[in-house]
Amino acid sequence: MITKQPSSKRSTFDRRQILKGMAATSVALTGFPYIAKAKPATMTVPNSGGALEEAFKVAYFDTFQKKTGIQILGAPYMDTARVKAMVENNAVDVDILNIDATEAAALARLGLLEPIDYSVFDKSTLLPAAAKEHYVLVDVAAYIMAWNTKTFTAETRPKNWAEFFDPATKEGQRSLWKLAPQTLEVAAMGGGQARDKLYPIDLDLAFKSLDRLKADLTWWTSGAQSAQLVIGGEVDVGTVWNGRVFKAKNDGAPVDYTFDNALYVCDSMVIPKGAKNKKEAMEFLANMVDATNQATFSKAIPYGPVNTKSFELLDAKTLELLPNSPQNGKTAVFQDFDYWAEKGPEIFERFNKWLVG
Amino acid sequence: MSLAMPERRLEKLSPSAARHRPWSPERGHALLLLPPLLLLVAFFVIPLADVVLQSFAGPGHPLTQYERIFTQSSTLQVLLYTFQTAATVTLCTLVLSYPVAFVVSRAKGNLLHLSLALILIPFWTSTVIRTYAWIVILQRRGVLNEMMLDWGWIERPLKLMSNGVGMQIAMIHIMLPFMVIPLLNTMRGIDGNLLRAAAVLGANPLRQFLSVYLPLSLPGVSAGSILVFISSLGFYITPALLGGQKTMVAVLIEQQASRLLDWPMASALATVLLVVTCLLFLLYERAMRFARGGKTVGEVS
Repeated sequence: MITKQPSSKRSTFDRRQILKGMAATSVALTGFPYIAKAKPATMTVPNSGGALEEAFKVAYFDTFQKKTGIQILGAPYMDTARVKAMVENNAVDVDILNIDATEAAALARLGLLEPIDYSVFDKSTLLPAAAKEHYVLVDVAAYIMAWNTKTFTAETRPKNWAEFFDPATKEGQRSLWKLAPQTLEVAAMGGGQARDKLYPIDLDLAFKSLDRLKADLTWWTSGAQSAQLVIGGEVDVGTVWNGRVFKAKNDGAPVDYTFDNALYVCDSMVIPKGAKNKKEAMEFLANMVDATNQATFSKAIPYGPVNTKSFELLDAKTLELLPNSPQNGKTAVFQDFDYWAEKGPEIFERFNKWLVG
Repeated sequence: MSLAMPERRLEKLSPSAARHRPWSPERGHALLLLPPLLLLVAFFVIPLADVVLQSFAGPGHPLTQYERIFTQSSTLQVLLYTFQTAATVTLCTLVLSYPVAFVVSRAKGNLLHLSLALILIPFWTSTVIRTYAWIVILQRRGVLNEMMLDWGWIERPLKLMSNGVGMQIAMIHIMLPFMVIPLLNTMRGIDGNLLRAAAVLGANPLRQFLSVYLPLSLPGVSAGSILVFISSLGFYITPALLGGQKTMVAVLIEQQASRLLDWPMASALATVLLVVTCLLFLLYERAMRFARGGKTVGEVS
């Protein structure tokens, strides 16, 4: 096999030139024409860390190393601000990174990302929503309703977002993420906006829903906190991300949740503009959206695959936990990340105004 | 200053060097300032200047961001709420810390060491952990509410977490050492004989405190208050986890900087916060100087 080449990141070898001279011998001897181009020995992939990185490692990092010999190293999450600084200062030392899809859409809008090369993998097996021009969704998580089982049962809990935003029907303290995205979507659904016509969001309707809840509302700002609020009984029913509560429920904590009318929120992969190993980054991405690897990932953490072929590789127990498995995904809707990249500033402003008003 | 000692010794040890470059203690002092000064310039002054410059960048005329801040009632309200919260926290911290510092300043031996340790140990625990501890205590089915319900003091759990009360309690707790230590420092320098002299001259305890002790402790009060006030203005974690509906300005800056990527706006907000803080500090210093008859804050006789 190909041996790893040291200090290869800034190779001056031109693949084509060398191939011209050596084509015959190279191909004849090895059958690997790309041996001439120095490959990076390692690639660094920033990601959200924790359980997600562990799942990434098993499903994507290790399989990629086995396939290509390139070792993948995890690194702390890079938010949009850091990616922007990196690209604008011409200091791109990361070839591909895991980032929240709304952040990816914002970066794409600012022209800070390389376009995705869809000739490298077959996008027809992916969910239609997953393959974007400058970013690819790689998992499906959900913003969902969870309740404390000491207050509500699956039968008595608010049946839908309309009841969630109506404290008169179902009394109890509520909680929501203190940020415009996701929260305004469910608020709009709570006001009666149809989920298949969720964008553009009817903001007046959404804020009217929030007004109804104002006296019974606790805000959260981190995922850990959202789960703690419901589990600890500070609130009776609230929004959470599914990855934050499935384990607690499994371990017997007084919490339950539903995927009904869930809002899909996703992780994505992006290649920053000026990345030095674009080719390897694309190969890595192709390895990530592979049906088998996606299934391995979903077994490790309850985020759904974006490759539709992966579902048949998963057992019933895993499918039950995934937001977009055939049985759970009937009434869910994808968040429109590009909508937020475009309208974000003005909606944030209005949301902040509502908060202090 | 004890830090200047090695320089002076050096001067004595190498007379030849001293001949070529005559050392004076003042010159030695000035040179000692150089490394921290360079560090500050490189990692604080230059980035800060960059932030201020960024606030004038972006689309539109240079003052666009400031116009947005001062014409948007929501941003102004966030700033106002931030200053109100910082003032409340400072005042409560002062009221709680003053008696503690007084008692500890009178303590001796093991009692002194024990009380210092008790003040400092929480200081070494991460703010995030202490904030989560407060959540456990203050939440609706938390330790405090369950206890008061059991004792029949209240009939329904108190709402302590979603309205800013819990946030202020946690901030006060986190800020206590920043107030106690400057107070303690000043109080330990107050000569007990002065109080005895006042008593001999017929002052009752209240008068002794008001005319002698309190004025002498003011440098500690102002040092602690400034420290707490300014730290509270930029508080991020505790308001994020325990805050209510209203937002502190640090959260707003974070939103502009990393959610919306509007760096000019984030810079402008940061600049406004910085300028207002500096102005308040100057105003405060003026007031203290006036109150103490012409001396600068921190000058202890």
